[in-house]
Amino acid sequence: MKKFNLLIVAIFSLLFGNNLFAQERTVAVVLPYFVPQHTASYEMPNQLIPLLNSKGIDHMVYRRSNDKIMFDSLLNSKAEQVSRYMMVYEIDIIEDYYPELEYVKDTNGVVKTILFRLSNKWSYYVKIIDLETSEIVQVIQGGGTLADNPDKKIVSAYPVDANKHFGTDPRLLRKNDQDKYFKLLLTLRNAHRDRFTQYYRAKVQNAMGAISLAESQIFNKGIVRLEKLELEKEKLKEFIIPRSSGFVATKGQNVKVFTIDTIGNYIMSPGNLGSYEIDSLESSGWKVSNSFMSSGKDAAAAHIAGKPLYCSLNTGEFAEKMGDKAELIPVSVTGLKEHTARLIEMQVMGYNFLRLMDKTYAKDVEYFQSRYRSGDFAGQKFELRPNSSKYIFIENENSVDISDVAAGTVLYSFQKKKDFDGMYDATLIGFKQEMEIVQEIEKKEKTKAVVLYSPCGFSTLVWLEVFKVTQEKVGDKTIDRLVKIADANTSGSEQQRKISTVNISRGESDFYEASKNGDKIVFRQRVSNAPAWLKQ
Amino acid sequence: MLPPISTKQLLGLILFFSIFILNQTALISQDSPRKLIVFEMDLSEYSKKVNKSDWLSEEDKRKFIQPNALNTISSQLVNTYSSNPDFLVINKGNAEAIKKIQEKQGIAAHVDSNLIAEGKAGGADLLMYPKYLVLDNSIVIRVFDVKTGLLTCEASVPIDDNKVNANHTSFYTGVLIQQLNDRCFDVKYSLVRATKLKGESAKEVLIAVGNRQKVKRAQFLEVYQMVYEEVDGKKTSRSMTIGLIEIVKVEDDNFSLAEVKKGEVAIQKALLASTPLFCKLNVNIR
Repeated sequence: MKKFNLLIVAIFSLLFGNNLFAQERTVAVVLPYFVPQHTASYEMPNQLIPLLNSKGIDHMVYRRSNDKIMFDSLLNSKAEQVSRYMMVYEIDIIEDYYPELEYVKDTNGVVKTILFRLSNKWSYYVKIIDLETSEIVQVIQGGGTLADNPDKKIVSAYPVDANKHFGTDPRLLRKNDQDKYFKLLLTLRNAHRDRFTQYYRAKVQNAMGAISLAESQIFNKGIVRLEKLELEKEKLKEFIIPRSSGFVATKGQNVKVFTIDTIGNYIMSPGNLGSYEIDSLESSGWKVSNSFMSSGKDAAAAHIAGKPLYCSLNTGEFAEKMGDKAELIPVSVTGLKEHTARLIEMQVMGYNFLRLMDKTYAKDVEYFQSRYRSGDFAGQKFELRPNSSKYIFIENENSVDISDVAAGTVLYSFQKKKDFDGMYDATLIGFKQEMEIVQEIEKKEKTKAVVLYSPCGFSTLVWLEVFKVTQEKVGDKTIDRLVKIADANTSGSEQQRKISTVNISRGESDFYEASKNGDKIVFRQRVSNAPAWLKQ
Repeated sequence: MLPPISTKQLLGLILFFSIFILNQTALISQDSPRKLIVFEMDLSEYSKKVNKSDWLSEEDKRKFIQPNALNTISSQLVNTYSSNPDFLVINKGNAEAIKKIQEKQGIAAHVDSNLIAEGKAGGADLLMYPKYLVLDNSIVIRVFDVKTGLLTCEASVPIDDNKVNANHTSFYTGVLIQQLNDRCFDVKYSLVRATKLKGESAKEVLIAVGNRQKVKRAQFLEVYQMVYEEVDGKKTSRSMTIGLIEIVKVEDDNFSLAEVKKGEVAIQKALLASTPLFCKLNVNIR
């Protein structure tokens, strides 16, 4: 009964949290700059903004001009209004306006085909900042490769009849008459220009989907309980996510359905019951239908068994720790280079107990804050709640220090390694946090796996070392000693969770014994990936 | 990297920090952690030396002078002492970044949080200044008392010209930290107990030295006990080496396991007699 109450409280707070978000749903989008020649990237905002608006969120579009931010009168259908959030994004679809010819040779070194080959890679970066607090609410970067789709003429390679076009071997012409070669190459490129652009536009579509999803996630931090479900032949084929839930999505986005279990102070979804897709935004809410991946049987069975069903956008990997929520510690990041600062920020973003404040876009944030407090926006709600960073992650040439901003002292420091390995433990130790065992899975006096809660999440965690804490008397002091008892690894498939099942890959008996003895057990990230014994 | 500074400039800096700290700091108890300012590694003399080397090509010179492993000594000092609860460490290299964010966050917030921090932390006491000295071809770390402006103590380690990579630097740093702990902060590395015995011989021992002291597997340490000698009527302490150990496993920040290479019987005998045993890195075996 008590567990049930806790569950209700936790879920209520998650839903309530969403309702608060629903009050202020305007995002200022600051567009990146592209030259018109990069057609697909240049015209992207014309498609992206309507896509983002289709989620039921208003977007104010701004451009940069001479280092100033300007309201874009062409892309905005509404008058300028106060935005709660600022989104900056970057895309790189590697839009090459001047692709070179590629000479594909056979095994004998003879040129078989001459073609234009466009890069199939694309990447994006999105950062969303709460303008009232300067807090980063989303920072994500990713990318992918675009698979060829010959049916739709979306392909990355374009064979050309070069000898005919150039009247000779183009390599020979390039050697003998460069002017003529480049003129002819340009006409050849221009002849293919539309198909190149079509290909780049396909990559833009992928990037837009990722940006839209990243934005949706800031409004969907909680989960939505499904009510008034109607089954069709014992299958849950569709349902409505009511508008009152504060849910945000676009057509085609993926929704997962799941139940929730409680173990002690933790709530978590045991697994997905089905994959669904957003159909449309109706007057009652978002209409969701089962995708081809899911029959709707599992969700229906859970519903018939009397288990409440929940859903969330994109992932069913829901897990939280209940109980007293300690106040989040505000931190910021200073990197030696922009991309390294981003890497640190993205790691910190996954740490439960920290609140990440932005420094990179401070000027832009100040511009909006100052603008929204001016008389032009009188009567519109904008409550400036500046948050000072208590600690700052400072990247130096060789190390990263977590420093107390006010005192200037170093809380914890770690030597810099590839991908900032070491930061995970440094943050846990520095801020006196520990991973917690939720449940142990035992078999024949061995601990085979543990369900583990980590305040730093599992997104960068694969290999772990397990220690029992003993104490040694050294002179007149008693010092904690960490004695290694086991190696462990995550499955890698539950990376977005704060709770994950961790396999004990070596030392199952020692783990079991330490646990039964009541020894304090701590976990540390193994930064050198797989343990040596596994590589042998 | 810091530009070279003269003794006069350094004393000026000490005076500056003294005034800065005295201005801000409430009275603190003796037990409070000591505030330690660690300067960036001064490799100016090293750069000059490399530049003068006729036998090096310009590219090689650049390679030697570019941020090399020796530069990490400062950050390793920060790493070591910031995880020691006896110290509150300020990394001088962070000064600019912290100043910027303090200014941005405004005076009001700064003063409030500073008062709290000062109440907890107390005043700064020491400056730690690492520098390469061409004269001795060594790295020296000088520790100054902020209030008196006097040199408190120093640690130094000679370097080999061809041994300045990350591994060697880690060793140099380990030696330097050991000397600093011993000479400046009266911290000795204890041999805790034997973990493997054969008859009356200690085969493996647990030592209170770990990652925090920058030791690595396969490093050798001398085991010694303190004895007292009468010199000119005064009792003078002397460290008497009784054995040699090799680290086989660095367990954590504080402890390592070491195999006894020499003095198995003497070590076990001393342990049985409850004689405090200590160990120090052997600079001759790298």
